[in-house]
Formats: sequence, structure tokens, C-alpha cells
Amino acid sequence: MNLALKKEMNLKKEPLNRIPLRRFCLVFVLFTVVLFFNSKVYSQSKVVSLDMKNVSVEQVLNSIESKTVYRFLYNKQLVDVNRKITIVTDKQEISQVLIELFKGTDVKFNISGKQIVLSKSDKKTASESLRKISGIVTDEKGESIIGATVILKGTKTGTVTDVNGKFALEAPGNSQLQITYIGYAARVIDIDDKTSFNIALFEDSKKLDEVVVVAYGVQKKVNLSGSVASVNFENLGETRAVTNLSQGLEGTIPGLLAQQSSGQPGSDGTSITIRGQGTLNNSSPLVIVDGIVGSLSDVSPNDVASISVLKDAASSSIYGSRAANGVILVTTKQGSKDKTRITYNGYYGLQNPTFPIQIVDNYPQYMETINQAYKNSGNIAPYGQAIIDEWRANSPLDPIVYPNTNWFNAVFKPSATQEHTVQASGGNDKINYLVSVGYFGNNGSMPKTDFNKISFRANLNAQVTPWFTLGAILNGYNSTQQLADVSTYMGYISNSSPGTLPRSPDGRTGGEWAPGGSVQANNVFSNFDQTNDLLTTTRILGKLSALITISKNFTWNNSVSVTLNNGFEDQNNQPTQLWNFKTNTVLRNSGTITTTLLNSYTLYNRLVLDSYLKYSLKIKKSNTIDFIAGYNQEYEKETGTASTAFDLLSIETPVMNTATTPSTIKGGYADRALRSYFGRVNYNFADKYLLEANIRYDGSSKFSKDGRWGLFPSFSGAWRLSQERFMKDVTFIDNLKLRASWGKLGNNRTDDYGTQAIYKSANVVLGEIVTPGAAPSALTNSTLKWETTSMTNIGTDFGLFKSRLNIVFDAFYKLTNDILIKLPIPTVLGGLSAPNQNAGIVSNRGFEFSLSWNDKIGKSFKYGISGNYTFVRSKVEKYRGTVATYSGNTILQEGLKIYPFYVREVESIATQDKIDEMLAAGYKFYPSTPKPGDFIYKDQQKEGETGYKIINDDDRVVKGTSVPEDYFGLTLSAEYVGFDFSVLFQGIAGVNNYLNSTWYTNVLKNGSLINKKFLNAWSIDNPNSKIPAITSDDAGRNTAANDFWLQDGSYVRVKNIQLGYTFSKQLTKNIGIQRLRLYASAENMFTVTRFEGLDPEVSATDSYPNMKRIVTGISITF
Amino acid sequence: MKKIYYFLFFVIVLSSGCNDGLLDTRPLDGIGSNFMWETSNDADLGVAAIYNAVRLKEAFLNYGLNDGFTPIAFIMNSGSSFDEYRQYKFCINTATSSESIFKQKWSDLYKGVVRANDAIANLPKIEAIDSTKRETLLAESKFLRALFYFELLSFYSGHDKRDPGVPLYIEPANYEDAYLPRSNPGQIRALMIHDLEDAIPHLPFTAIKGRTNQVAARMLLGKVYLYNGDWLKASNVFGGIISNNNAKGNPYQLYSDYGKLFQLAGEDNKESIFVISNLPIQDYGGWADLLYSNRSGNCAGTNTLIPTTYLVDSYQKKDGSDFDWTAYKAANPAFSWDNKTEVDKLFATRDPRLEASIIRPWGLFVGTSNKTFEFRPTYDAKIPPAVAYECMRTSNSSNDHYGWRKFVNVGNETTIRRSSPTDWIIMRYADLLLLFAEAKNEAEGPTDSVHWAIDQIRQRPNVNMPKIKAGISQDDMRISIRNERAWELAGEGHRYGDYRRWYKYDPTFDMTTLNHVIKGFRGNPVNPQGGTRVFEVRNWQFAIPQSEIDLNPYLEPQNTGWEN
Repeated sequence: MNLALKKEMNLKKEPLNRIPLRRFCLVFVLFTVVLFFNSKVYSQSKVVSLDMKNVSVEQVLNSIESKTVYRFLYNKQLVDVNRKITIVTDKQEISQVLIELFKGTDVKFNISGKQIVLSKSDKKTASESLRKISGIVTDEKGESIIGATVILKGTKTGTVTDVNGKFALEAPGNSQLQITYIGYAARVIDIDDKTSFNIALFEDSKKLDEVVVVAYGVQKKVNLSGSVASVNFENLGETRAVTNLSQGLEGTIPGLLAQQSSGQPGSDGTSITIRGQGTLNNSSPLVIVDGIVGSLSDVSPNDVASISVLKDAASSSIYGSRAANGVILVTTKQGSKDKTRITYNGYYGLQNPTFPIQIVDNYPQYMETINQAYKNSGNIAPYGQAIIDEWRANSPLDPIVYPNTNWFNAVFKPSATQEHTVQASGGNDKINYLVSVGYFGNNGSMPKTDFNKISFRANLNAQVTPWFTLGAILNGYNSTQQLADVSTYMGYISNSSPGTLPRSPDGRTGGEWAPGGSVQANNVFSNFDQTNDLLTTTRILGKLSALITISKNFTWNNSVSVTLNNGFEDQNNQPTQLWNFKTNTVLRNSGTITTTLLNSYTLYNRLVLDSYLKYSLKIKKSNTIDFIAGYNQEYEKETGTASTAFDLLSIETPVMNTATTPSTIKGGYADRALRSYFGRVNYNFADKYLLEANIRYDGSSKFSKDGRWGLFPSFSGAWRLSQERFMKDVTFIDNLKLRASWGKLGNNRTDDYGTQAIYKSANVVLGEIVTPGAAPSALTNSTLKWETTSMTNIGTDFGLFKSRLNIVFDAFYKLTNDILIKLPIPTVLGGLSAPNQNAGIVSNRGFEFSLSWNDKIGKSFKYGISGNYTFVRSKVEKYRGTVATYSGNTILQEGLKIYPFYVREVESIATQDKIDEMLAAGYKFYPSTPKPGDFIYKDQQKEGETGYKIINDDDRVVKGTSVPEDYFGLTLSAEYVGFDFSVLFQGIAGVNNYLNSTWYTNVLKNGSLINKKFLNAWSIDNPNSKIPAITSDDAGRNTAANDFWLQDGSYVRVKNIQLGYTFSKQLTKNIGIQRLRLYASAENMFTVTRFEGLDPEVSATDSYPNMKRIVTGISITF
Repeated sequence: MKKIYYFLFFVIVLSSGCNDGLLDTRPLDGIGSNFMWETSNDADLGVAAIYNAVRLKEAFLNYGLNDGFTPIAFIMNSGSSFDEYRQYKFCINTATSSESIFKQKWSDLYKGVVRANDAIANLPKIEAIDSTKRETLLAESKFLRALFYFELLSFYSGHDKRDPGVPLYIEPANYEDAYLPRSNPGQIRALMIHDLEDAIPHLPFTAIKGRTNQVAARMLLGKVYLYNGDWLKASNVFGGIISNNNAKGNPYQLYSDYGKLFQLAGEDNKESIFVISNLPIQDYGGWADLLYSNRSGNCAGTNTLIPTTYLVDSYQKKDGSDFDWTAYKAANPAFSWDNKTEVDKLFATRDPRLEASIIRPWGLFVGTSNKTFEFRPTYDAKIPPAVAYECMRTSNSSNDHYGWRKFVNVGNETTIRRSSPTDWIIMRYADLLLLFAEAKNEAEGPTDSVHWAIDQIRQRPNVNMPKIKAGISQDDMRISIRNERAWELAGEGHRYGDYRRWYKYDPTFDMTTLNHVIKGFRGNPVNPQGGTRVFEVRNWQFAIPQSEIDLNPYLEPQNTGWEN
């Protein structure tokens, strides 16, 4: 009853509660109004003049509210406000007016501050044992709850608590008090012979009335028939230092895998897959921000209210052609009616790479190791003993000339990150607003990778007329990113020598001068000096929407959205020098010969039109049918130009006009369009049986005229067993729902013009003149059409023990047909890029569950534990028959998982005896015969089979997987008198990474760094080592794809730890602060893994490592 | 009522958005295939694109690197990106069939074939074009197709009937049709001859730089015969060109200055028959400067290809006698690489093409900032006025190996590092004369015309080497011609093809003579990262790219020795 009652109580403006979103807002508004009701003294008039004839009491109350500061609180079931009345007053005291108004009724009133509580007076006749009772209702922290409903159970007698949380009423001794308040678990208390009560209510975070945002609206969570997970991100901005909203999703949602594959500031979003990799191409989900297709990096973490993840076909098929990989719905915060709030959130912290690489940083040791590697390969050792000794003796004395550089530590330094956001929100009956502006600064741990962003948002809603509501969202950011070419720089770092000084105290960059040293050895600091590259992005997203209320249950929603993205990359390069500090001369020039300048502009714009009708039909009392029908169109265009010029007047004048050598200019263009029709029907019988059907009809410009349109239907149903009568006695079950769904989804992630052959520039110089030429640029497929995914889902939701324990379980089967893939084609077609084809079928099957337990111990210790686990396995059901495609060290073939590794198996480390023995036995080795210390690979063929005794790539076997199969997250949280603490664990298992490049190889190159692991390599003196001998020229003997380099990529990571303290409201209220919270938060602090690379999340060897980050923050609400 | 208006308003907005064209997008950064091959301009664009394929790096732009696969030169493992496709691994025989060089050359050459096929199929369909122009463009396309197939055969099969051939595509193919097996060399030769004979009558005798002409087409035809051991036909074709050229007043002739021929200053010569025209503009310049030059060049060269001591030592003395180190050292006991006078004296006695082609110790080089550098055999950082010249520096600073002068730009001629303005010569008159001499000598023995042709080369005005001794045997003449090709064409990339033509099926040839530890002039191995050339049977051919065989099993069997 509580929700319905609340609605009736305070919300008299009928038109407002017509749509679910509105209802959602109102619940929220009411909550805030009551909770934060201002009880200060006001100077405004306490008198009122009225002249109203034959109107309802309600209208009179409204009129008083609009003319005075007073607000009424009452229960419609107790106070008859429909009574018609005529009233004329002239500047009368409010109490006089009320006496007049309720003359002759049983309504009494109580004025407290600016709040007037109306209740039924106790005129019970001859009540045998009625006595006055009173009490106070508080929350678990002991703070009073204003507006809680207190009734005698089973009657209509009751009251609401006043501003101090107090109530008083008369009751018979043998009755019970029932106390309800939205967002809190209801309590029933025996009165017995007590007259004074101190009642604490506990927050009920798992309320059955919880609503979640779904496609084109909101729905009560209990009434969902599809598979939707939602996270409340209201507090994300004041708890964690995520540098990109998508990081907040890691480990929090069953079925969703978010992994951060780069820690580079500004490029540190996560890649997200929902329920596994369903396709052979891009499998990232569709992101919808406030109803418009967008990106998670468009939204500041501070502005987010909630995120819903639509996982099954039934929930997402209304997004049709783009929903095959799931949909993420982001809803931003809205201003609340009546209450003005100003909030500041800010944090500051430091960060450092998660995994430093262990490299040989002692140069004499480096030289000896290189010498050994060269000797092992039969080559001449480059370093003489003299220089090794010289270095050893002198480096303690003169570290400038004789450095022992640890390049990883020299480049990556602790750096600062900070974010500051100010948010103001408020509103009244007609208008609400939320405005926020934020600054985010993330200094790179690597030089020249800083990122700065200023973002803003204005969300406005205005009720223009009772039937017309306008909404406006303006959101955007301006960011500057130092665009370091990280993968190249990582390459430079790995191709460096410990004998090179990064930078002398006077700023000059050192070169490799030791005799025998490689002159090619890099000094990445000279590259840092060479290049300035700054990307300035201005992105503006605007949405204007109009909601037309045609009738009480019939609305029409229209919107137009534009996105504008303007990018400007400004890069200039200048030559630098590497110094020999021994002779104090320039060793060599580095980088470009002349100064160069690159200016690149990109412009992206998009226009989206959206219009849909919603109709809600109530048949009798318990049958509801909701309809949605709509139209959507999108058009996107990208253009850009890039110009390069040389020989600037000076590097201080990096502008095209100062270039003395003419520039080259290039430009590009792309556009795409989508047009869609969609509809949905929901049927709800008594909140017991739920049925839903969706349909979408999409046309995309990317496909041929004949294959352009796709139809995507879905159906789902749910049965809430807990609502059945036969379940009534099972009291420990609050909610039990069975769900099933099936649907078809599409995927149009493919080239813009895949059906049209294009001749592009292929110019040539003929007779000293650049002569235009045009050549086919790519092969085309004129029959291209949608990729379709059909998905079946069954699931169940449990709420047990007063919703303290919640379990959600889902099992799914996803089959993707007509996969859009660029099958590799022979280069006899001139290396033209392959066309997309609808080829291949991939299945994904798996299950996921989440389990949460929230409870308290004693009065003030609250704790919670929630975990989720997902298993998903992919299988290529159909591909090119027995023909496989190889990509790196992976294989794509029918019947296998998606791209498992395809490697030789290492059997042993060779000794000379073993080699001789095998050669004598007639073994042949490819690419060449092993030397002692090399791998001996397993011969997979048995005697009599082709290839027996031939060890080559035919001995490769399928091993491991490149797509994670298990992922999980676990959150532990606790609260105690203002303190809150939580830990988030996240991990994956069932995945491998192939690690054999740059830092991870036994093939040592003079002038490249050596991983310390290889100091323990096999040698005659170290015959038990499993690590192949170091060498300078491997010729593929150890680097042929093999399982030694295949590493277990599983990990468990403490993604986030936080400790916060929220000051008592009573305490801060006195200094005008509603809420004050201090916190410390740490990201990526601990990781358990066997992976030896940069970071198991990053996996690549040339990416920017992920960061450990510790911040302290403050959140103040005025 | 108002609601109706809003409703109407929105319906209007909506329907205006519903124009049918919304979903009919088309790219604007290229010509849609429906609109190509319609006009005379389209014909020009399409044929220019074939020429564009000629200047792909592994087609012809970096053709000189092929000399690195033979004893006269070596590709250094610079450890940087300049040995782009790791040709080094082929030199030391550690490559596998997956090496990127194999795939890159294959793809670059077939790119030319595909574009030529496209033009040959579509040019006849264009109506709005002058018919002479059409025939000329068609002839150019056919020449180019033959040129690409010639290289494909050379690298991936060999021209002999015993060789396995390469897949033959003569029409535009869709992706479903790209799985042909290998055609034998005979079929491909037939196509090349057919194409060239078709083309020759429609091509002009001379054309602007970069375009082909009748002489280039006939020279290629002669090479087709020559590589097949069809000596008589080859000598007739080559001889025909020479007499025809003579009759036309020698539009093609040897350039008077051998060294300048390969420099920007000598670009506009009459010796070049078919070249890649280069401009100092990004994407339209040459790479040879970068790959051949040294650190002191304005391009900060990489010495990726270096001339070997084998080549340098092979150059004759000025009197036409062979150079012999042992004898020289005996006669000049004071010789030391550190002694400028002695070193100058050594090189003063040699074939002038040595100095013109190669920067030797104590040689001078005008490099970056138009400064003159001295190639001191030990790098030092001394600068004038302490010394006369700054020290030139090899890419690895060792200063102990020779560097190229050929194709290396002087002073600040290179303004953009990877865009040398100097043209790359694919065919030149001197090569034609030597090919004629070779064919004629094989067909008829050392006739007067054979002597005439080779002596023309030797007696180029600023080379002026003695004539070949009269009356030598056919075998001796053969050796003379083969040596002459090394000295005359060093660094131009023809040597690898020559070796295959001469020795692949020569049972008397001792392959181990091709293997050398690559040493600097002081006798130290030049490349501390291992510079030992290993040449085995498999090195006669490139591997069919492994990825290509994986996709198209009909290409099997893999070339001998490349099976993994």
C-alpha cells in the first residue's frame, strides 16, 4: 500500500503521474521533499485571502499552497478532499482559514513550521481503552523521518510523522502500529501497554517496487520479463576515481565483461562485451544515453543516475539492427522538484603503473648477457671486456657518462589525477533542472600523455501546459589530449639500452656510446622532445524533446538530437640530437631531418529524429496492456582534412603559414543513415503473468537495396509465482519469478559502403608531373545484408528473507547467423581489402548468476555482499568447412572456439645428445634444426602418418582460448555510524595470452632491453631451466608459435577499495551543509595472476599500462 | 485544437525527413565503379593507376635491394624499420615462407596485374575516346601486365619450363574466382609475348619520362626470349632495337658521364629507356637515397644496402687487368687503410666506375647542409678547422664498410627523407647493349657485334676502359659479359635475375661460391648481428607466401626448400 498511498497523499496535480517516467520522478521527488523539508523560520505571510465558490477542498488546499509558504501533508483515505465547499476569506490567519475549511468534519490539523498535517480527529465514541500514544520514527542512523505513515494495522486510522519525526495518536492497547515509508521496509509493532515508541526504519534497498530503466521507458523490476541488470550510479562520482564511466561497469554486472586495455589518459575506456563474443567482428554493445545512441565517454561519471544493461533479445530487440551485442542504457540525473541542491564532488590522487616490467638495468650485466647471446648463436660478441670493466668501475663515480638506466622506471613516474564537479539542481512544479560542470585532469605517467577535460551538462524539463512538456539536454566537453604514439614509444623503450642516459641534468638526451653498443639504441626522451601532438576535441550533444499528453493514458514523445564533434590534431616535429657524454659531442641526429607540421581536422555530425506513441489500457482492475509504436531516423556524416608541411620558420611558430616547403593535403568523407519503425506490447495480468512482444524494422544505408531492411521481433513472458495464492504461506520467499524469452537481433557494424566498388586515388609521376590515377580500393559484395542473432534466455529471480537475499539466474543460448566478416582473400587480387561477406555462424551458450545478501547486525552495522559469475563459451558452428583462417597465432575454424591459439607443443629443451639422437633417427626440423638450449617440439604425428618425424608447423595443435570464458565480480560492503567501506573484486578465467614480443623473448638484440626472466635461461651451467637459451638470431627455432609463450591470462583483481565517512546530518545542518562525505579510494591495488606481461587486462606488450590509483575525495551538498 | 496543430506540424517534420534518399548514401572520396571507365579521362586515370603500381616499393621502386641477394651487395640488419620486409633474413637464409617480403612483393606485383587486367578489359568498352589514344593506352597496359608477370615468374617460379609457374589472371576477377592454380611458365610466356607483340606497334618510339615506349616493350620481349634461352630470337629483338635506334638518329644513347647518370643532375639523359619518375614530394619520391646513403646524407641514410668487398675488389684495374690484393700489397708494402695517400693511390688505378658507384675510404662526399665530408675509415667527431672535412658516418658508425654513391643524392637534394627526387632507372640503353651481347654471344659466339656492344659500355667517355681482347673464346666472352654487368649495373637490382638466368640450371655451378662472410674493407665482419650470406637451392626463388598457400591450396606444392 505504501507507494500508492504516498502518491495519493501529496500529489494532487493529476496530469503528472501519467507516465511511468514521471511516476519514477515523483517517487524520487516526494522522497527528497519529505526528507529534506526545510523547517526554518520564514518571514512570508501567514495570512491568506481566498474567494472560491463550489470548489473541492483539494482545490482550496492547492490555492493556499500557491499563495503561502505552507504545504499540506495528508492521507486521502483519511481526509475527504473532494468535498465541495465555498470559502471567502480576507487576509485571515491560516489557522482560522483551516478551522473554517474543516468546520463540521472530523479533520484536525496541526501546523508545524510551514507544514500542515491534516489528520482525522479521534471522535471515537465510548472507546473502551483508547489511550494516547506517541513516538518518534527514525532511520537506522537515528535521524528522524519526516512524513512516515503510522496507522493502526487493519484500520484506516493513522497519521504521518511531523518534521521532527514525531507522531501522536490514540489507539486501543491490543492493536498494532504499522509504520511505512517509501524506500524503507515497513514495520509492524505491538502497542501492548506502551505509550511511547522509538521506531527505527531500515532502508530497503531491494524494494520490490524498484523501477529500472528499459528501452523507451521504465518498468517495475518485478514486472520485467526480459533479462535486464541495472546499477545505481547515483554515487559513482563521490566514491570512485574512475577515469572513464565504462570502468565503473567492471565486475558489477553478471554477463558483462568490461576490460581496460590501455591506461593512457583519455584513451582509457574499457572494451565491453555482453554475454561473450557473439560475432567475429566488433562485438561491443550499443550504448544509449538518455534515449540517444552515444558513448560511455560522453557522460561524466558524476552525472549518471543509473545504468541498465539489456542482455537478452527480448529487452533489446526494440533497438533492432544494432542490438545484437546487447544494449547499455545510461540515464543521467534530473533536477528534483522543490529542492535546490548544490553539490561539489572532488578528488585528487596519484597513480603508478600496475606492473613494472623486470628488466636488466645493470649495463655491465647487460653487455655480458648480450655477448653470451651472440656467442650462443655463433656470432662475434659485440662488447669487449675492457668496456665492461670500465663501466663497472666508473658507473658509481660518474653515472652521467656510465649510466645504468632502468628504462621502464625512467619513463613511468607517479602522476596526478584529479576531478572536480559542481552540480546544481532544483525546480518547482513546472520546471526542474540539473546543471553540472566538471574538470577532469589526468596527467600521464608517461611524458606527453596528459589529458584534460572540461565537461558540462544541463538537463531541463518544463511543463509548458498541462498536456505539453518540454525537455532539453545539452551536454558536451572540451578535451585536450597529448596524443603520444604510445605503441611506438613502447617499442622505442624496449629497443633501448641500459647504457644510455635518458637525460642529463642540463636536459640533453643521451645516446649509446659504448664501443660495441648499438647505435640504433633509442632514447625515447629524444622522441618526447621531437614531437608535440595535441588533440583538441569539442563535442556537443543536444536533445530537445516534446512530450504531448493526448489523454490520461496516451502520450506522444518526440525528440530531435544533434551531435557535433570537432577534432583538431596539431602535431609538430623537430630534429633532436643524442649526445655522447663521454666525449661531449653529438652522437647522432634523431628523428626528422626538418621541422614538420601536421594539422588534421575532423568533423562529425549526427541528426536523430525520434517519435513514439505510448498507450496504456486498463481492462478491469488487474489487466494492463501497454503499447508503444514509434519511428526513428539517424544520419551521420564524417569529414576531415589533414595537411602536412615542412621546414617551419621555427619550431616556435607551428602554424602552416610559416612552413617553407609546400604541404600535402588529404581529406576524407563518410556518411551513413538508418531508418526504423518499432513497437512494443506489454500485457500484465495482476502482476502475476507478464507478456511482452517487441518488433523493430530497420533500414540501413550500409547494405544493398535488396538486403537493406531487417525485421527483428522478440517475445518474452514471466510468471511471478510469489504472487500466487499457493505461495502465500511460504513466507520466506518475497519474490519468485520465472522468465523466458526469445528474439532476433541485428548487427550492422560493417563498412559504410561495402556494397559499392570505389576507385580511389592512385597517382603517379609522369613526365615530372603528378598525374592522377584511380584504382579499385576494395573488393565489394553487392549482396550484403544484416547479420542476425537469435537468442533464447531463461531465467529466474528470487527474493528471500525479506529481500535480504536476492538471486538472479539466467541461462542463454545465442546463435549468430550471416556473420559479417572479411574473409581473407588471396593477394592475387592485388592486396585489395577483402569485402564483407555474410558467412559463418557462431554460437554462445552460457549462464550467469548474481547473488546478494544485505543485512545488519545490531542497530547500526550494515553489511552487504554481492557477487556475480558468468560462464560463456563460444563455438564457430559454421565457417569455411575444413579450411581455417590464421590470425597471428590463433586459428578460426569450424567446430572450434573463436580464435583459440594454434601452437606447437614444447616437449623439452634440446641438448646436443638429444639433437644428435633425433637426427640419427631421421627427424627433420623446420624452420631449422635446434641447437642446444632450443625447444624440441612434440611430433604430433604417429608412425605411419604423413609428417611423422617431421617437426614443423603441421605439429601445431589447438590450445587455450583468446576470449575469456569465465568472469566474475564480488562486492563487499559495510557501514557503521557514518563510516562506509567497500571492496570490489573483479576477475576473469579461462583465457590465454600469447606473449612473445619486445620484452618477452629469448632472442636478444643488441640495443634492446632484456627481461630479467631470461637471465635464468637454459645454458650448459643451468641445464634444468625450462627457458630456452638466449640467442641473437633465433631463425624461428624458438619463436615459431608454441605453447611456451602461451600464458594463462586469468586474474583476480581488487578493482576498488574505498573507505568513506559521512558526517552526521544533525552536525552539518548547523553549518548549512546537507551532506558532507570524505573518502579515500584506490583502484587496481592488488592483482593475483600468473600472467607475466604488462597487465592481464592490457595483455598487449606495447600498450600503455594500467594504473594503480589512490585518491582522496570530498563530497559536499548544500 | 492546438494538439491537432502540433500533430500536423510534427507529421510535416517527420515526412520531410522521410525523403527516399536518406538511405541511399554514396562515398564521395572515390569514383563509384558504376561511373568508372566511361570517359577518356577515366581511361587516363585507370592507366595511370597501373603506372602507380610500378612505383610500389616491392614492384620496382626499391628494385635495387635485389642486388643484396647476390654477392655484390648485402642487406644490413639495421634493426630498424628500413629493412622493411626483413630481406636481411633472406640474405642469411633464416627466412620462412611467412616472411613479409614474400607477401609484399607478391601483392605489389599482382596489384599491377589486377589494374592492368581492369584496364585491358574496360578500355575497349569506352566509346567517348579517340581510337588512337585508346590503342596507345591499351598497349601501355599490356606492356605493364607483361612486365609484372615477368617479375612474378622471376621471383616466384623461374622462367624455365622445369619451373612451377605462377597463377595467371588475365581478366578482372572477383573474390570468389581468385583461387587459380599455378600456370606453367610456358603459358605465362605466351601471354607476355602476345601482349608485347600486340603493344609494340601502338607504342611511340620515345615517350615522356615514366611512360613506356616501343623500345621498352621490345627490350622486355627480348628479355622474355633471353630468360627462356631462346638466344637467337632474343638477339634478333635486341639487335633490331639497336639498328632501329640507329636509323632514327639515336634517340637512345649512352650518357657521357657514368656517375652523373644516377644523379639528379643527370636525370634528363638519353640513356634511360623506362624509369620511375620521382619528385621531392611525399609519396612521389624515391627510397633509394635513404636505403643507399649514409648518415651524413641529407636524408640521414641508413646504409641498408651496402656494396660488398667482393664487388669492390672485382673491379678491374685501368689497364683492363684483374685486381689482386696479394699482388697489390706486395707491391705497396706501405698500404694501410688509415693512410689517405695510399688509399687514394689504390683507387686511382681502378675502373672509374668504382669511384663513381662507391664511396670508398678517404673518399669525399657532399652531404647534408651541402657540407663536404671525408669518409675516414674510423669515425671521429672532428670538425673543421681542426681537419679539412667533417667525417662521414655510416649508419652504424663503424665506418668500416663501403657505401654507395650511385643513387645517393648530393648535398641537400633530398628535402624529404623518404622522397628522393632522383629517378629510378628500370631499363637503360647500357643494359640493352649488354643483353644483346649476351644473347648474340650465346647464339653465334663472340662476333664483332658482340665486341662492339660490350666495348661501347667500356668506352663510355668518362669510363674509357680498354676494349675486350679480340679473338677471345665464347666462354671467355661470356665471363666478360657477366663481369661487365656487375660493374656497369651494380646496385640496380638486376644481378639476382642474372644469376638465376645463368646458374639455376647450370650443373657445373658451385653454389657455395655465393656464400661469404660479409666483411668490411678491413676484413672485419660488418654486421655484428651476424652477416654471413647463406645461399641454398631454395634461395633461387622466393617462397610462395605462406598465407597465400593457406588460402589457396591449389598453389601447392610450395617452392622447393620453403615447405615449413
